[in-house]
Amino acid sequence: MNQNTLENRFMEFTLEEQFFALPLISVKEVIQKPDVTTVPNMPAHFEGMMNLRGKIIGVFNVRKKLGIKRPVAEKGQSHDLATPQSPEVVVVVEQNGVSVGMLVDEVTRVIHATSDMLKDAPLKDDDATRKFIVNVIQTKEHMVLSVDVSELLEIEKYRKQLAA
Amino acid sequence: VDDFELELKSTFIDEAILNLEEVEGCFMELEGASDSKDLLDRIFRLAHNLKGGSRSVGFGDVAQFTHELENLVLAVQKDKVKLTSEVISTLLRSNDRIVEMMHTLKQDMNATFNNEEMIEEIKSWIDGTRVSSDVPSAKLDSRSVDTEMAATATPIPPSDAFFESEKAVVPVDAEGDGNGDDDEVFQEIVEIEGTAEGDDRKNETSDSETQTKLDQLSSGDNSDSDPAPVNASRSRLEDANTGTENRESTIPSNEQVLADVLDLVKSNQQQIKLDEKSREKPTATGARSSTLRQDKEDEVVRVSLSRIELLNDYVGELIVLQSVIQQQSQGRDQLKLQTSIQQMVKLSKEIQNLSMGLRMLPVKPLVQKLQRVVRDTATMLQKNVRLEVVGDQMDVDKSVLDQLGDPLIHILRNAVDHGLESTEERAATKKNPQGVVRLSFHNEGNHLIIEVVDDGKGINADIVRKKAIEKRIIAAHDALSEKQIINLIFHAGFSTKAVTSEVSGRGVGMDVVKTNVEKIGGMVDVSTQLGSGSNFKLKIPLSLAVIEGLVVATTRGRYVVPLSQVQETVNLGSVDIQTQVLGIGDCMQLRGQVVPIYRLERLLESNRREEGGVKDSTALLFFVEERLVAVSVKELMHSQQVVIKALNNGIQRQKGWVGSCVLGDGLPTLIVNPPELLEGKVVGASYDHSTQKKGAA
Repeated sequence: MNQNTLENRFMEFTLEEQFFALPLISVKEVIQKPDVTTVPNMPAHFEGMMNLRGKIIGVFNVRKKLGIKRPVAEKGQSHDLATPQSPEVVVVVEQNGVSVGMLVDEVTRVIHATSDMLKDAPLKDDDATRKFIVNVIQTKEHMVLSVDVSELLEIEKYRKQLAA
Repeated sequence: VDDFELELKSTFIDEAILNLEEVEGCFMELEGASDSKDLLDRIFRLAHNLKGGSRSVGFGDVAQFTHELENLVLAVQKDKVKLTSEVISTLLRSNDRIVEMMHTLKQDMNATFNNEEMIEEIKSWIDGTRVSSDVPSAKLDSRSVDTEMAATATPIPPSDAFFESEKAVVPVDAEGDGNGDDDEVFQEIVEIEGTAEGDDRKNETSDSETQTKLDQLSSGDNSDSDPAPVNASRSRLEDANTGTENRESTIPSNEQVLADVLDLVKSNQQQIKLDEKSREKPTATGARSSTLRQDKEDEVVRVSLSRIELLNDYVGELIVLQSVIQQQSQGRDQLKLQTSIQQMVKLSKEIQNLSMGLRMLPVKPLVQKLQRVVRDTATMLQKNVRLEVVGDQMDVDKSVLDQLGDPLIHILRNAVDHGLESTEERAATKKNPQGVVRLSFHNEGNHLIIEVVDDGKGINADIVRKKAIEKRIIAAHDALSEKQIINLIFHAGFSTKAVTSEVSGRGVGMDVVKTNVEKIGGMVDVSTQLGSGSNFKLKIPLSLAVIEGLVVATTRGRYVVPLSQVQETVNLGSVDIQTQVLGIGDCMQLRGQVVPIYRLERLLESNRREEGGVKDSTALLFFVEERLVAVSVKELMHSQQVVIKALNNGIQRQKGWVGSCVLGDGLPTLIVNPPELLEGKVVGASYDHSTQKKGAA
């Protein structure tokens, strides 16, 4: 079995020291977090819009979308979702002609996943994040949650908007 | 080979549709043209090309039909058939038929057509069984009426009409030498608007010039022994001619090439030759067709080769400059680097202009369509109408142009149908029995101004008001200015059939006009004088890609507002502000008028409650459904041209958002349109409000 096709490669990234991955084929580029402009009337997980070489794209705060809370930092500041501590990068995802930015803590590596490494996600049925997680990649080092970017970034909604 | 043929066919259809537009223009000009020889030659050539082309790509029905059409044109050319308005009607309808066939073929390449009836009609002209004067009227369609009627309905104004009009005619080119060539003079004139917005000073200074030019013209007239009336159409014809020639010289006629190639292939039946040819076939065509096949909805724009070459040159220069800058950035000579960057700035501006110019298309084909609409409407209603067209030599962005057709057709039909009185009515009011509709185009800054002026009966504000009350668009006690009342015809609820017959008709689908025009960021204004006519004025941005924007700051960040929408700005520190009036919040007194104030950040985020007064902020005034409304912002920053970027990528678009743009510091910013944000929020309140205020006073 050819292990080096683009399809079975994943990009690993971290959110609060948890490991996640998304299909490498949908990653267009990874950039340092640029200045973003806040946009009114948007859901909390919408970070703002950024200028990617003249193209305006929305940036999603995946941490908020997945409901990953910050560890208790200082007194009175527990569960503060807003202020990041680790360096942040934006992963620009392109799918079906739609580009969306995804704010994550760090991009760590690329994983070549063989089929025996893919496991079902050990999530309860009623877990809110269940629909975003496709499966688990068991690597030598640790478990990585593989996310469904279309679902996570609501690609379909924007594709329809693009077509309209 | 299948693909190859498909490509040929679809290219042929695209070409044919373009050619047919030209043919229609020719037919329209034929009417009233004193010398039709050149025109007929052109029509014949186009018909012949079409015939050859359609036969070679295998559209037999089209070929047969165009063959008959060609015969008729030939007969007219040889003076065997007299060119009457009825013949022209037949020609026009044949043209329509071919256009129809082309569009059907575009969908389905294998479609077949039955043109028997039309061919019969054409043949009957050629063999003389049909003669203009005693044709049974039942056999004609409504467009073919008696010659005199149709001839007067043509859009060609005699030259005199230009000078009798109230507008000042000013020469642009002072070198016009008055050598008796009226056509040339006509090409040199533009019009200065005599409307309220017209610059008085400009008019004054130009008067003398006008006079000189008029003198030149009339002296030219005298020296010209030809007694034939000078037709403005002749200048247009010449323009069209040069236009075609230019195009032909820059782009080789694909149709001809295709026809040749196919003929060759079909006669020789040599497969090898075909393969060779298909490989070295005109690459431009190949590339175009292949994109066409990928996405059927992709549209085709004709661009002159010289423009593309220029663009290529500039881009080449840019690349060179880029490497120069790269090198200089490693050296220490700051000054040199700065000069290079300056150069690059200039160059990229040029490139932007050029690349935007690729989208610009002439309004002329649209005007031809409109001339046809007026002609058809007039003949159908048995009205004697003349359409004057001024300034149709303009270029407009394609997407704008596409949106202009429907509103203009609507307005023009309305003008002919309801604006102009019947011939008898006009006679009774001692008006010239021939109604005049004038369609004019001119530039005003970044905007295209289109005016449709008729000399009909005008709009009766009293009747409009009554109807609006009946339709519950306004309340009986609403105090509205006459202008506000007239503008009610654009209200969506105003347009119903019942209204049409009673309220001198104005208002049929007028809301469509407004919606369409506003969709492309334009504005509609109507003014009217009872008894002497109405004036519909459309203000349309020349391009959708770049707008003049006002950058404003709110407590929640910066936004850009299209400057064209802003009526004026008011420093709220200097006016009388009343807070919490009548449940609509803050208001201000401005020149005796009460204007409600809305905060921009509140409009954008309805759940947000901003504390503190609006005292030290600035208000932008807008018209929302004919009401003056103020939108307050923390600070006006500056105005600048912004390039509109679509909001597609991961940003949920909302009502009132025009798009986004990148400001000087590289940060993206939303472009919002306050009138659209306010839509539906302000009208009821302000109507009530204004009446209560007035009632109290």
